[in-house]
Amino acid sequence: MSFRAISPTPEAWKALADALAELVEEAAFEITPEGLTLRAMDPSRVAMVNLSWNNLSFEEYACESSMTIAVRVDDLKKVMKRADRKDRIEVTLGQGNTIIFRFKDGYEREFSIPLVEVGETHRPLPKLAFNAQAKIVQKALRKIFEDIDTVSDHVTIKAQEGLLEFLGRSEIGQVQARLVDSSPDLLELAVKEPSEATYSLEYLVDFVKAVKPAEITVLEFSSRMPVKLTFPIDEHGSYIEFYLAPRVE
Amino acid sequence: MLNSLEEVDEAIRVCRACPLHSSRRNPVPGEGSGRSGIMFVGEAPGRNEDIQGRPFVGAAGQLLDGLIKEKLGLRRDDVYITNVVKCRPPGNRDPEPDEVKACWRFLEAQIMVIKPRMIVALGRHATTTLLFGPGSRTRSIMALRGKPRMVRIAGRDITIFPTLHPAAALYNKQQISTLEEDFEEIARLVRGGGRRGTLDEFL
Repeated sequence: MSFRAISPTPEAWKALADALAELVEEAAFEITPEGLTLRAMDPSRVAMVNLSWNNLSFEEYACESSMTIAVRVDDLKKVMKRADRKDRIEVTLGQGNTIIFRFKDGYEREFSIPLVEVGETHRPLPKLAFNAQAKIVQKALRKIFEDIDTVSDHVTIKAQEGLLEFLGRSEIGQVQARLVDSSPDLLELAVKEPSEATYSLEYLVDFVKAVKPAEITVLEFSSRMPVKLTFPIDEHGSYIEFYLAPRVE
Repeated sequence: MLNSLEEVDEAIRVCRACPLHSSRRNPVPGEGSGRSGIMFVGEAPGRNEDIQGRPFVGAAGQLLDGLIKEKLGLRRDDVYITNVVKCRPPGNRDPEPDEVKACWRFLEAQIMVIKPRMIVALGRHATTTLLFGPGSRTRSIMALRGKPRMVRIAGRDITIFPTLHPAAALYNKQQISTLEEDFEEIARLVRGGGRRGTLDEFL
């Protein structure tokens, strides 16, 4: 069993660890010669993460045969907290069922964490056809969710031709954010059918914050359907996707 | 292929796949509607269960019923209650790995019929079987309890929530508060799912 992957920066690993920490205690990676994938659903079955990290995204990547490994997300997060912005990260499998993260920027540091038993298998993705798709500057989306979070624990997203609206309402007030076709933060908007759905902000805020390094987010949804957020990791086609079930009114 | 709980019950009644059938009084298939989407799985029937042919009817059962009512706000009939092994092992000994393996198809069939979104595994035998497969080496429940994990069983992704066996908590009163804590966490997970909807219907 041999595996080695080198990333020029720790950003994607950090984002992944932060995003997973909101959802699950353990995460199982499928490692193949083509790259790394991971799917994880939170125990209340409301949210799901899907990672597709292809081998081109790495500075060096070597995997002889496919395998599944699992780690405790808390362990991964602790290690990634120690990574500096300029660190190169080398990931290998160690002796005695461990995974090793080597950080290199000037001096070299090596963190070894235990692998845990794989408790989950590659689960299916939700089968969805979306009526609204928007490409949004990630920073703007993050601010919108945080704005709405000041008054409400959920957000209603409305899409129609040329307009994407975010609404939050509670007894303490109301927040409304609008992105129109001409907004510099709304890069694309395609609406097949006017759509409206409400989602819990609990996961959205944390998740969008976790994947800070992504510059663009693709938001897709339909009325009474889950929302899907796609965060491209780089220009090589790797991405982190996030699915969230709608609120049942 | 067992398509209903009645068919599963009947298959258990006539099962001769392991030696336990010869020493039991009654098989204990399980009971409840499971309409809440929650299933409870224990280890094996005890003396009272063997006499009545019903799961969790003794003191441990009373504790379980109370937790279901007080912490989850549900009635016993709203959930489905069963055991990993459907016949009582003589003298209340632990079920043997071969007995667990022989009985697994019935639990799998019950899961296929009930389609639970969460299974509460009561004790180390149920936890080990549901997380790591029938016949697996048993592990410490204290290390696994309170941490839900997703497992694929009978073609479905199911949240397994390991907790203590109510019978063990009866012998150690300190463990009752641990069991209560776990049931509060189960309530949080179940209510969270209900209020926000889940991804299940879209998978």
